[in-house]
Amino acid sequence: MMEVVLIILGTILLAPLAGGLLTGVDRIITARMQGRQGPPLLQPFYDLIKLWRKEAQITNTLQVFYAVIYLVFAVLSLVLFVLGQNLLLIIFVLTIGSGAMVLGALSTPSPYSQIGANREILQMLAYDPILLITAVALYLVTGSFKLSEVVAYQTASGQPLLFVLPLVFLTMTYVLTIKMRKSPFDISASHHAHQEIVRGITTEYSGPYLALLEIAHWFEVVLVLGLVAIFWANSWLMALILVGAVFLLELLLDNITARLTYRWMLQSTWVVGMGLAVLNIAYLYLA
Amino acid sequence: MGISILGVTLFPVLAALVLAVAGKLRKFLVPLSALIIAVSGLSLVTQQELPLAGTTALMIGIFIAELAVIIFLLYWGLKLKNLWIIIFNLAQLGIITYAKLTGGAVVGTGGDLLVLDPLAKVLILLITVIGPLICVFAVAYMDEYEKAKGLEKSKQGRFFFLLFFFLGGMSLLVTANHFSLVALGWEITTLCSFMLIGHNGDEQSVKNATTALIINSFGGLFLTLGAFLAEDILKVSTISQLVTADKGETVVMAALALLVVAGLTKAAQLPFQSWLLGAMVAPTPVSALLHSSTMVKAGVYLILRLAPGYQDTMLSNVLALVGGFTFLITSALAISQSNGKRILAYSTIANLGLIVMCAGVNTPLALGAAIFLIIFHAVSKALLFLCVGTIELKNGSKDIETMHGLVEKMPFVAVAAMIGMITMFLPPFGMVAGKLGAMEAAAKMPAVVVMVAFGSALTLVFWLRWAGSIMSTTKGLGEIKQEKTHLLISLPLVLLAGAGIVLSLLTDYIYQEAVIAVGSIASPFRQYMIGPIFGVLAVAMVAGMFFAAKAKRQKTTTPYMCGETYLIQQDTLAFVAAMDKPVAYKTSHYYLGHWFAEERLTTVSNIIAIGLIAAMIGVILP
Repeated sequence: MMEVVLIILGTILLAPLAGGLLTGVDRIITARMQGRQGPPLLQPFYDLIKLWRKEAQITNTLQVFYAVIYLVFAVLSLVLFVLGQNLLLIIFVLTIGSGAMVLGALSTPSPYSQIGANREILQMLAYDPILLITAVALYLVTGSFKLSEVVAYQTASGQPLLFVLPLVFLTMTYVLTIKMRKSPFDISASHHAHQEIVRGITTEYSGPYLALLEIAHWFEVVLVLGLVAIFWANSWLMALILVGAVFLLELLLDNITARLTYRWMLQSTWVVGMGLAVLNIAYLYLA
Repeated sequence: MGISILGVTLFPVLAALVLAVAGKLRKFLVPLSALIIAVSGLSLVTQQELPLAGTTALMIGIFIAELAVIIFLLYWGLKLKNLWIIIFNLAQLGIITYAKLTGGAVVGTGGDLLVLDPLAKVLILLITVIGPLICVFAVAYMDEYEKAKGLEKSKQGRFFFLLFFFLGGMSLLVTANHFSLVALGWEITTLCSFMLIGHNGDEQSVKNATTALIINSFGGLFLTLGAFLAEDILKVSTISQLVTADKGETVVMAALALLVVAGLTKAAQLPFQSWLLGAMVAPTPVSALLHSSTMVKAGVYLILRLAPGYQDTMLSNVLALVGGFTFLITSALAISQSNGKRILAYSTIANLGLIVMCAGVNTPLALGAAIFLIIFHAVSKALLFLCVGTIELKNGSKDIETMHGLVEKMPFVAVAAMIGMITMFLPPFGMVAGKLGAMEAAAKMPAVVVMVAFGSALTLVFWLRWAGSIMSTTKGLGEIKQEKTHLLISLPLVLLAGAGIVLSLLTDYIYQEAVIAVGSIASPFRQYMIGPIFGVLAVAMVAGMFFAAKAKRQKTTTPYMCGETYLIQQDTLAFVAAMDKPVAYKTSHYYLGHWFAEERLTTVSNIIAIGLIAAMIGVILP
C-alpha cells in the first residue's frame, strides 16, 4: 500500500519535471536543426512560471473547470500506466482528459477555439482506434491487457515485443506524433506556436490556465514515451534507447514535414495504420 | 411469484383500459399506476423461480389471444393496402393454425411457461422502473406537446392506453419461456409500437409506422417459423429446452438461426434499421420507450436468451461479425447527422450491435458485458431522449447546431443531457465498463475487435461535439437563471440521471446479482477501477468548481475576434464591424459527409449486412 502511494506521489512530482526537461531538449534540438542557438534547457519552466504569474483572463468559468479536469485525468492516465494497469482502461481515461480539453475549447463562442476543438476531435478519431488495436495486439501476444503482465511476459520470454510486433510499433509511433502535437499532424494546435496568441484549441486560454494545459501536456508526453518503452520492457537500458530514438525521430519528422490536412491525416492513419497492424497480427497467426 | 407477475403483466393492461377513458384524472392515475408497476417489478425480482405448467384452457386462451393480435395486424395490412404486411401475417396465421391442428399434443405440455432467471429479472427491472418513469414524464409532456401542435381534440386516451399496454406486453415477453407466450408478447410489442409510431396520424407518421410494421411482421414470421421448427419437428415447446438441445442437429440450429434473425429485426440491426430511425416521428416518450427499456431490448434479449444454444458454433462467430459490423457502420452514420434524435437513434442501433456482438462472442465475460450494456444503455438513452424532447418543445428544434449556449437558457436540462452523454462514453461509468469488457472478450476475434475499436473512436466524435455545443456560453459570465420545469418532467430526469451515476458505482453488485447469480466470483469488471476513478472524478469536479468559482472574481474578457469587438448577446453570434454594425458569424461542426454520406453508406452496408446474415444461416447447413 505504502509503495503504491509512493509510486503515485513520485509520478505526480517527477513526470512534469521530465516532461519539462524533454520539452527543453526538444526546443534546443529543434533550434539546432533550424540553424539557431535555441533557448536554455530550463526555458519551458521559465515560461511556465511566467504564465503562472500573469493576470488570469477568462471568457467563461466552464473553461477553468475543464482545464482542471484535463490536468487531473492526464495525471491519472499516467499514474495508471506506472501502476501497470489495464491498457484499454488507460486509453479511455486518456480520453476523459482530451475530451475535457475539447469541451473547454467548445465552451467559448470563439471561432478559432471552436475550429481547434473540432480538429482536436478529428485527431482523437485518428489516434484512438490505432491505440486500441495496439492494445489488442499486445494482448494477442502476451495474453493480457494488463501492462504489468505485458512487462512480465517480456521479462520471462526475454524477447522484446518490438521484434514480435514491429509493424504495430511503427503504426503506434506514427499516431503518437498526433498526441505530441508534432508536424505533419499538428492540426489542432502546433507545438511550434507555443508563444502565439492564436493557437487553435488553446486560443481562449491564457495565463495560469494555459499553464495548467501545458503541465497536462507534459504528463501526456511522458505517457506517450512510456507506451514506446513498453515494446522493449525487459531491459531498462534498451527501453531508454528506444524512447530516445523515437523522440529524436519525432523531432526530425517535425522539422522536415509540413502540416497536412485532416483528411490526409485520417486516411493515412486509418488505412495505412490499420493495414500494417492487421498485417502484423495476421503474420502472428500464420507463424 | 403469483401476484407480482400479474402486477407487471396484467395490471398494466388493466391500467391501460382505465387510462384510455380517464380524462383529466390521468394526472393522478398515471403516476399511481406507474408506482404500482414499479413496486410489482421490484418485488418480482426478489422472488425465486416457480414452475408453472400450462393447463389446456390457459394454452387455448394464449393461442386465441395470439390469433387475435395477428388478425388485428392483418386488418391493418388491409387498411393500409400493404401487400407485405398481409403476406407476412397471413403466413404466420397459416403456420400457427397448422401447427395447432397437427401438433395438438404439444399444447400445455413440456416445461415451464415462465422463466425468471437473472437475465429476465434485469429486463423486468428496466421495463417496470424506466418504463413507468417515461409514462410519468409523458403526463406533463403530452399536454405541452398537444398545445404546441394546436390539437383540438386530445388523443391522450389512446396514447396512454398504448403506452401501458406496451409495458404489459414487454413484461410478458421477457418472462415467457413457452414459445406460445413468447410469440404473444412479441406480437403485442409489434402492434403497440406500430400504433404508437403512427400516433400523430399525419402522412409521415403513417408511412413510418407502416415501415415498422412491415419489418417487424417479417421478424414475426421468422419467430413463428423458428417456433414451428422447435414445436412441431423437435417437439420442444420452451426456449430453455431448445437451448439445451443437440447442437449437431441441423433442425436445432435452423430453429435457433430463425429466432436470432427475428431478434435482429426487432433490435433494428443492419439491414433492418430503417423502422427505428423512422420511429422518431412519434412524440418523444415513444422514442424514449422504444430505445431504452422496451422493443429493441426485446430483440437483443431473445438473442442473449438463445446464446447457450449456439455457443461454440459457426453461427455464433458470424453473429459476432453481424453485431460488430452494425456497431461500426451506425457509429459512422451517427457522425453524418445533425438531428439530435437521429444521432441518438444511430447510437442506439450501434450499442445494440455491440450487445449482439457480445452474444456472438459468447464467453462468460462477453455475456456479462452484454448485460451491463443493456442496463446502462437503457438508463442513459431514456434520459437523453427525454432531454432532447424537452429541449425541442422549448427550442423548437432538435438540430444540435441550434443547441449552442443551451446551458444559459435551460441549465437544468442541459446538465441532465450532459450527464446522459458522459455516462454513455466515458469512464468510470457503467457503459464503458461494458464496452471495455466487450472489447476484451472480442480480442480473440481480430476481425470483430478491429471493427469495435474503430466504432468506439467514431462514437467519441458525435458525443464530444454535441456535449460541447450544449455546454457553451454566448454571453460570457452573465447570471444564469434556472428555467421553470414541470415537476413531472424534472423528476424523471433527476431520477434517471441519478441512476446513471449511482448504478455505475454498484457494478460489483450488479455483476453478482445479474450476471452470475450463484456463488461469488470476483467481477472481471473490477480491473476497470470504477471506484478509484470515481474518487478521482469527484476530486477533479470539486477542484474544478472551486477554481471556476474563484475565477468568477477574476478579469473576464470576450473571445478573441481578430481585433474586432465581440457582441455580447444571446442566441446569435456576432461582432461589431465598421460603423458599429453587428456582423453575424457562425461556427459549426464537421460532419464528414464526403466519407459517411448517409444514403450511399446505408445502401452499401445493407448489402454487406444481408450477405453476413445469409452467411449466418448458411453456416448451419450440414
